[in-house]
Amino acid sequence: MAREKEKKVRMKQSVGSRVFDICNTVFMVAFCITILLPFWDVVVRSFSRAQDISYMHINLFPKVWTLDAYKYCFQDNEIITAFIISVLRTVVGTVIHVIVCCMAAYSLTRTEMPFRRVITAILLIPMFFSAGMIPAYLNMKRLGLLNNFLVYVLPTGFSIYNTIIIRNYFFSIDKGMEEAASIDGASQVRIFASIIMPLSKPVIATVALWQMVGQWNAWFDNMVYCRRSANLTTLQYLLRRMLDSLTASTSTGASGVEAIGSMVDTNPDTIKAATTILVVLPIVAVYPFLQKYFVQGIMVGAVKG
Amino acid sequence: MGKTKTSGTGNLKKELRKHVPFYIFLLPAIILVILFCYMPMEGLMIAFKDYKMARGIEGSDWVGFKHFQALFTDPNFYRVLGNTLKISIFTLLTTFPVTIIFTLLVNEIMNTRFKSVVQTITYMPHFLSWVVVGTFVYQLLSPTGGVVNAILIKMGILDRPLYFMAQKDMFIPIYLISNLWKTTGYSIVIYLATISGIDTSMYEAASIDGANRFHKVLHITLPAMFPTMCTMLILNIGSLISVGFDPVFNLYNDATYQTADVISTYVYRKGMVESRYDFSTAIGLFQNVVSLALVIIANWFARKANPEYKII
Repeated sequence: MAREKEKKVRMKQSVGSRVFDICNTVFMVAFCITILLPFWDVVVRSFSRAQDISYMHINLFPKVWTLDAYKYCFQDNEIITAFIISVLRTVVGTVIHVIVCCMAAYSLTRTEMPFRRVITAILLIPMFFSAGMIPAYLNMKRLGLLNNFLVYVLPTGFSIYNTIIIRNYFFSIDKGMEEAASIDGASQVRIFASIIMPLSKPVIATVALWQMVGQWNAWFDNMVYCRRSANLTTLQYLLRRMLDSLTASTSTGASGVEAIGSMVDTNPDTIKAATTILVVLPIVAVYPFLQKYFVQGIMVGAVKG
Repeated sequence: MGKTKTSGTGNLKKELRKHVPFYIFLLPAIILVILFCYMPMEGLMIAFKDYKMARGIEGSDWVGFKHFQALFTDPNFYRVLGNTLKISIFTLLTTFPVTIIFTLLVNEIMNTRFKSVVQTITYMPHFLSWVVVGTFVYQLLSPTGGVVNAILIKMGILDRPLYFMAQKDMFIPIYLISNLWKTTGYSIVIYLATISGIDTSMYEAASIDGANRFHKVLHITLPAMFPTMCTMLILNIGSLISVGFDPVFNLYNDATYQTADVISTYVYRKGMVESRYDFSTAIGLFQNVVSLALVIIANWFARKANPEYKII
């Protein structure tokens, strides 16, 4: 009797469990669709004709597929320049960041180094207190970095957070190799460049990826420090300005709807959509393959942080 | 320095010389920090000065707490402060439970392939800038051809397109939903890491004792997540007064200033747009001092709650 009862309970559980599994799967699929929907919406718009998308339709696919918006983008000097600047700042900024952080991290592994605590404190304090937007602006002005490409890549050159993550990784490298190299007469620079760095590829890849995404996505420094130089505009800021031209129409009062309607001719949604694709594509294309490095970085930070 | 050896100037000199390459390695980092973190701090003086661009930071006259007095009698400031606190608290109240529930649901997915697909997709928006997210939101909610308006009209809920982004009562819901859309997938990672550290024999033992899935979640998984939850909650409290600039700036517009404007966007408009450098430096300083105090308090609590917790 008792055994039968137990069997019944188990059956009941498995039914409940199965119902839960089905609901959970449905929920997850719905959630993923919610995430993907905006992406798909931009893709559809970017391949649509301008006259097709200003109507009240729910388009799962473009009415007529066209590359017009992309053709426009690839002929527009402003967009091409912005793309080049974005790529440049991503490459240069990431290289500087990785080199500066790795060098600092290597030094911070020397526990017996005099003044190590003082130096760490100097590097750490800005994490908790910053001067703020206006003093930073005045400082850039004083340094002559306004409307200067360097303002994209120098202030982001160092991050104590990434440095600590790299340092923790360096700590896990076997000290024996370093000592052996040292006995063989290798200099510190040489040990760093030809032993430590190659052994730390995973953590360097992670930090570099983070920085690449950060550089590619940055726009605030463009808006504040390089507002007036058209040849230093990044892709993100260009998109932001397209958004601005949209939001500006709200100030014209209650007739915001009409205002936007009339703007379609001058700044078509399709071109905005195509630009959005240009902004998003590099990240979305690379991301699934490198996801493990992104996640790995968080783990390193979380476990040892 | 010289922890084990008897201290002496000779010894220190020897240690210093031994570490010369390492100091050189640190030099770029130190120079960058001084240039871009410490040098701007001199500019904080203008919060107490009548800043004239022609006379520079040093040359301008001191005015004491004039700007702070102006600040605390400025009705706009209280509105902005109120918005900041409101948005932070609502953000905390939505993201926190959603993250926990979503973590548990993802953890219950049995098919590992499906699980990793879900994680890959939901994690992706984290790598987009708020400019892009703002573009998405404006476009989805657009009164001319936006999907949301089209659906609502088809369902008969609206009879004509509504310009959602210009409704001041809609800002906070739109902000919260956009924020969840962007951050949920990313924020579960740390909790999933905690769950993966749970000893599986505990679940096996529970099954033998007749526990079902729900029991196991309630009595094993959730308690294991508790320390991480505490740490995250405390860290969130530390940033209560600093709503990020990016999300608000890319979602608000003149029509929604009343409900959307937060301290950082107010500082930007007063300073960069209206060029009231001294006044907006004062607002920024107020915010930074309060948030520093909150972070210190939060850290103190975090250490009390979990003695192993360290900020670095």
